[in-house]
Amino acid sequence: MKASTIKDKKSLNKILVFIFWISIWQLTHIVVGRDIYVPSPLQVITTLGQMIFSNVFWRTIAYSIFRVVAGLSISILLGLIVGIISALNDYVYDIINPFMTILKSTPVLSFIIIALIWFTSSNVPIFICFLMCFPIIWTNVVAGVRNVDHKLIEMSKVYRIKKLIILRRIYLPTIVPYLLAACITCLGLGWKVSVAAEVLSHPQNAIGSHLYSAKVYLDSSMLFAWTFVVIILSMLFEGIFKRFTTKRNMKEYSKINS
Amino acid sequence: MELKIKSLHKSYGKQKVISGLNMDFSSEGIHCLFGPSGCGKTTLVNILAGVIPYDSGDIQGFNNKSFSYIFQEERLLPWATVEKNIKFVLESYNHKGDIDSIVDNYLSLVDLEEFKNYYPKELSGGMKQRVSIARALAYDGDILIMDEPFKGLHLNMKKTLMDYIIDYWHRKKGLFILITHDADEALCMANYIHVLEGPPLTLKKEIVIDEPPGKARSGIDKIQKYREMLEDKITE
Repeated sequence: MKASTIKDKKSLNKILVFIFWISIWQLTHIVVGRDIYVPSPLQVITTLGQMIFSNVFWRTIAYSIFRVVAGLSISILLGLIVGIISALNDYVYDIINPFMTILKSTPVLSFIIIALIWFTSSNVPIFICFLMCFPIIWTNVVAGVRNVDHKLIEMSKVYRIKKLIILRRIYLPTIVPYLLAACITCLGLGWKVSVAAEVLSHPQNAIGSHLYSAKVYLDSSMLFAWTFVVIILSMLFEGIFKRFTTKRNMKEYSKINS
Repeated sequence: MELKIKSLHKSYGKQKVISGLNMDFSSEGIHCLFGPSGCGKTTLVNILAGVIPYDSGDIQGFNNKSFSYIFQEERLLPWATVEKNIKFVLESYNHKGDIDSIVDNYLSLVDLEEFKNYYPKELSGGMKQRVSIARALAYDGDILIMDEPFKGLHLNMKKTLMDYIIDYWHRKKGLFILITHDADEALCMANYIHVLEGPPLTLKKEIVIDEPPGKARSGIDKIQKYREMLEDKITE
């Protein structure tokens, strides 16, 4: 009973915080006094309500989700493979490392503009998402491999364990927590940069394209509504991923080892 | 079977760890490397096992041997169960068919059958060391190396584990190398005691005990004499 009252109190707090910020928003709207600068919460919700019932809306988010998932999957896969190789071989590391430093410090817009020249509009966001997330995954995987317990590696050498088994049974389980942390960072970042790339490349079905037309038509409530959709999707992804990994974490370890 | 070390040298930077060491492990039995901590014993066995390189000298007969190794610490994979930890050293070679029965067999030898699905963090220190022993015995290397395997263990546990290993030796024979600085361990288990000093590692004395290893020894007068000798060595 006590636990349930604490829980009630917590959710009540959340609702109060939500109402507080919505009121601030409404207040700002009243003070500013012009819809184009700050649309009212009610306007945004109405726009969102209209959007949800159109087929275009669902097709749009489906395509955007596809691009983010594709970009993330490529970064995770390549980041893992290239990361392990560069952590185990100093020459490879020395070659790859400057490239990663450049990737990390180049403005994302420079990449988007060059990608517009290289790729079709629908593939630009995938490429940009990859470019931004790959260095993060790579850095964490390298850190994970470097942190491997050398006493275990020495033990495997004495017992003449095959390299592939050492990789699977010792390196991979050591990397997993590092990789998961990198993935969570990338989930948020992936959405932000993909949508930014969509704004500039405007593919046919894309959240970014709708943001772009909101800008063209000076439709602020549309801009707010689509932004809200991106935030929700990003949070949803992170939530699903966290739930999936914390539950699976231990099982994942044993899976790797089976 | 010739197993010999001739004028072996090894240094880490300027520190000479082993300098012109000659030793002979040709005779079958439990060979004890007896000496104070930090004298270079572990370095020597790691060279023999091929884990670390040596600078110069000649090692005969060790390079085509396989090794079972019981480390000072357990060195178990923390994310794998007891069973998987033992399978880990077996699956690189073609034991495949009877891997399960080998694992069960050696786990029962160290009385850990019921714990085969436990993770190392769920076991006590002594149990973990028993897993490490089961792993070494299950691997069945040509040579068994034990680097202070009973360090920090309770006396009763130590006796039980010593019995496992002595039993195993009676069944398997061959070359076992035991590193220790404990006179009781050496006298209970060894056929040959190599008294070492260092660094740099040098051989001071060799004692041959021609009684079979085990508890029965403790009553014999000769052993008492050896004990005094070894204990003198420690206090020096």
